[in-house]
Amino acid sequence: MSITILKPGMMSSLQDLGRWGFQQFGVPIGGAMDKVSATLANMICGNDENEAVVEMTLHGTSFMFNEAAYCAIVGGGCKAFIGDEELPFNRLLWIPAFSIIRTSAHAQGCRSYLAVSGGFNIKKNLGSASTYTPSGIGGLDGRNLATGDMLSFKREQVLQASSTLKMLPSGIGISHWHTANLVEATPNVVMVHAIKGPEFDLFNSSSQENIFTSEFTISSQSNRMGYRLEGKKFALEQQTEMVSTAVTTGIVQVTHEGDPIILMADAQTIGGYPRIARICAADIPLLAQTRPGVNIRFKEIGEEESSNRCKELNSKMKRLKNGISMPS
Amino acid sequence: MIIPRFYNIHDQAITIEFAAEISDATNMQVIAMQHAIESSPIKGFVEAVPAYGSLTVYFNDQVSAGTVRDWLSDLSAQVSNTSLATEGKQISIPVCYDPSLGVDLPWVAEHLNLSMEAIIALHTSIAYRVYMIGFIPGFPYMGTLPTALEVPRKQTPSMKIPAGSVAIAGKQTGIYPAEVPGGWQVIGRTPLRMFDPSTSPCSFLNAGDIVQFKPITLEAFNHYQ
Repeated sequence: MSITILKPGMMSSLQDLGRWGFQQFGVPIGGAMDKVSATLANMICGNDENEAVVEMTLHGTSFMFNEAAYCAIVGGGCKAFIGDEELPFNRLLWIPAFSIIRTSAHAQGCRSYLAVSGGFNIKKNLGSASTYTPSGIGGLDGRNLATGDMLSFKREQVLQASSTLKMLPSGIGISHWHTANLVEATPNVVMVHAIKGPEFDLFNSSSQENIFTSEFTISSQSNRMGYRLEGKKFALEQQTEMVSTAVTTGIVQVTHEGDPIILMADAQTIGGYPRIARICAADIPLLAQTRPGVNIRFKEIGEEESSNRCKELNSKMKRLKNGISMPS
Repeated sequence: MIIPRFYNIHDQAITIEFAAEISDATNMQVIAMQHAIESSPIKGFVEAVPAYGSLTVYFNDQVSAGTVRDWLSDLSAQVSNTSLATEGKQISIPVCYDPSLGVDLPWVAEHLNLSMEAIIALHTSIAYRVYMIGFIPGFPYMGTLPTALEVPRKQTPSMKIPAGSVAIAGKQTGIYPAEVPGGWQVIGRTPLRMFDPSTSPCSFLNAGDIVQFKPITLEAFNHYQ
């Protein structure tokens, strides 16, 4: 069983929950930008949470199911169609053989995740299927998906549509249940929670004030490695060269020109820029669903509140997992 | 005895900073701490990432940040300067310093008012410590260069530096593992592969290793490949 990529769209790639254990060799964690949506897509399909999924950025992707199969799409940034039939997100879908799913523009969100029941048959590289293009690791030959790529499934046996699905005349099946959307991206100003960074005290007083009070625009110069922000410039009280140390997803570092960059999934392992703030890990999925051009603000919270927000998200995910029932 | 500073860089990553400096003694402490952590990991420990003067510890949902911090605090007190027995590998790395590969060697020689032969002799005169591997997979940050070899980074970084390029900047020397943009001055090239995801370990060098560069001819370099 397989799907064939007809149009790869913008930077579609295979991702899982990241490549762990190799940062000491300079290999980034990577993985899905919005790990909550990627996890949900797998949960809906009854997969292990770390199965590889297709990460699609905005719209313009199309692919064909070569056999009938179950799948799920979670996230944002596009609407999905088979012909004129719009496919709902966050539900288990039964896709008839030779159906072509295409994605079109949607005002909300930025990334959507396609999981197939049983998972894609992707060889792991350094313990992960995640595509990291700068080093050519993971996914399909370490690159983004291209027209003609065939992604085979681990599951080989032909499936039947479950009678528990709502069947449409077109043969498409849709689960009656759906999972809550845990990552609510809006096209308006997005507020993310942030904690003072390790070098916060080294910045001048206007920088210290502006980081938590002014608005920033996510620049078009943003990618899986980091989001550049446009807005107020930042400066240290005294210009000093930092000794390079570990950085990771969520770190807000400030370049010599004074521009803040939020490090995202493909963040480098080591950096040498001062770090004015770090984003609460529970808000990274929301940032991943926020597209260039959108304005964001940072709301200051403390370490404990940040940790509590992460725990809350974790228990929500666990509750959702327990609530999903697969058709038998 | 250094009293380390602890801070979070993520809800599930704590950095232990021994000293914000580039020194062998501090980096030895970092590597000793890494070995201590890896030899008796706490439940929920994921990985430890060494840098010049700090070690960052990643963990998962199985353990709380507070528990990790207490554990690291106890361990760092035990890892004193006396327990630095763990030594890195001694590794010899062949480098061809022909200007066709070490494209910035003529500029460096002119800038330092030395002959190219003198630059090569200086660069191979001592062994270097690998402080850490980063910013891209397999790139070793090594030092400390002889003072006479210190040059600034390029004003404008080169768009493409070939894989294997041996370069210098300030007090540091490094090897580009893949073709990437870069700002260090390239003085030679090694035929060895610094990063290969199909081997274990994937990085040729590790933090704590001791590297000695050995000059080879262009003929030997070509023969290597």
